[in-house]
Amino acid sequence: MSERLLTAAWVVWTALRAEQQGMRTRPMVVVVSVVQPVALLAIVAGTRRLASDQASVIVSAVVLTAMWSATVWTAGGVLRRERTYGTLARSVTSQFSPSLVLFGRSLGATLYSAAGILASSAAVIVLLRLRIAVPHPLWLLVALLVVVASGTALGMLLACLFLVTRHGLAWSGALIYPVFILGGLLIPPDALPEWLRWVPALLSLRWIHEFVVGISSGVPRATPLVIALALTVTYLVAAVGCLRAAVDTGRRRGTLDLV
Amino acid sequence: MISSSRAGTPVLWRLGEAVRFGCREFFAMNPPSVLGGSILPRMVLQTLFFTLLGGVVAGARHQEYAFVGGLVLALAMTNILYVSQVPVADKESATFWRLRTGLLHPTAVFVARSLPYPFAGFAVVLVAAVVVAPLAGLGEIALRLAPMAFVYLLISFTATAAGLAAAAFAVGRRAETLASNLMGYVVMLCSGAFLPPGRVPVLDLVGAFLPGRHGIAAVHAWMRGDPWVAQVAAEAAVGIGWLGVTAAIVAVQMRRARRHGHDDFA
Repeated sequence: MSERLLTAAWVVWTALRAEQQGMRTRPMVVVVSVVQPVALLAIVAGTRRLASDQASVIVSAVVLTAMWSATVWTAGGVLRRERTYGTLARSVTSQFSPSLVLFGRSLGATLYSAAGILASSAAVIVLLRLRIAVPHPLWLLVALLVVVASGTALGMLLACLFLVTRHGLAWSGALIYPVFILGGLLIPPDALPEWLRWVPALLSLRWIHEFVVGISSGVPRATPLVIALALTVTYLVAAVGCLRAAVDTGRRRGTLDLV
Repeated sequence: MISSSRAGTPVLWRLGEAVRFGCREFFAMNPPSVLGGSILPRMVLQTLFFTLLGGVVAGARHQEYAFVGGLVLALAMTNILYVSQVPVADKESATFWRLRTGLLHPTAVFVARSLPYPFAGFAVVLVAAVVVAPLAGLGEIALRLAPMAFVYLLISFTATAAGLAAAAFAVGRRAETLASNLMGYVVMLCSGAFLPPGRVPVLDLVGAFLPGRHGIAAVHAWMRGDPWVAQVAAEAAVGIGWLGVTAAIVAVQMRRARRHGHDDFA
């Protein structure tokens, strides 16, 4: 049992490292993990003077918005890129579980992007001299861990969805702004028309944002965090099921690299 | 030595052929399905996002301000990002050496081939204005902007010139994606499209040399009833400046290619 666990950990670690090494050569990673959060945070926080609790909410919304963008372009593109490089079949038909390999790659991409987003956001906070209130740093750390878990699961799900279409790149671009508008992060749900206010509830990042809003107001509430975790598990289960179905179909038809 | 039987043809004819080729190239790389199914919806949603964000961040007045600027951001993103396709096509096809040895200067060929982009960007902005204004409850503002549509067309040209310079600078180092996106986001940050001038002095300084800044100022001045012609002239001067930068970069690339025996674009 422990040997299987060790092997699984080694697979995840190797996939994580491989993904992160690949990310160093892709300029789009810099765009979504550094340039975009800097630009968004600077224009939103620079537009008006913010109190410390407002600044915390804005920073959280920008970081999570950038996280969505990074997830779509990095973790979400893992399998699409494998197909482009011609390595998809090898990745998903090896002796190790394809879900484990995808998990490792998605985790690697999410950690790398999250580090870039947090570092660049911190630089803007210092440059604009924003006063951030963090009454419960430990809870903030918990929120950060849930962001990484959720980004990994979302990335896996998107990677599988982009696998079943020839137009994954076009879908990547098309998915960014609908979530920017309807995700309940920078545009709060009550600014949306009433018949669209249910949409943000489907996005785990929106619940994490609500948790952070609770922290910055000094009253952490567990419910949003629990909902975010439940959604994360749902994304993960859906991703594993979707990957299994896509790989099985591809192997049956002999079209794994040609979907 | 010129071997072509058309060596004596007038320059205008050659430029016309370059423009015609540019149009065919543009529609080959951006067929109607891509224009209508990917670029247009993205830019409409981007404009809607910044317009709504303006209202959320600083109220109804800033929503109007963000709508005026959001249209420029759609222009900037469309033109700056997509015009990089022109030098990239030469890199991918390994044809820069043919441009270097042609009768027309490579900069003239690049500019001629880039002409469809400002018009496509302007068309995207017109659609974005028509769709977003009613959704955001800004129909009246959109109608008031109509007489200043020519300023948006001018910004479309200046943004294309800046995008061409960014792409020409970076294409040899395989960094055109980064350079074009960087230019697009710097315009977002410094043009005054969302963040009004006067908040961060460094951004104001940089913005003065970027496409959009003076054009947006002209539109806002016109809406307030203030003088605006000087700002339009400044926007045009910025565009001409970026064309000069493009010409200088291409000249450096050509010189390096001649001296080192390789083509940066190839």
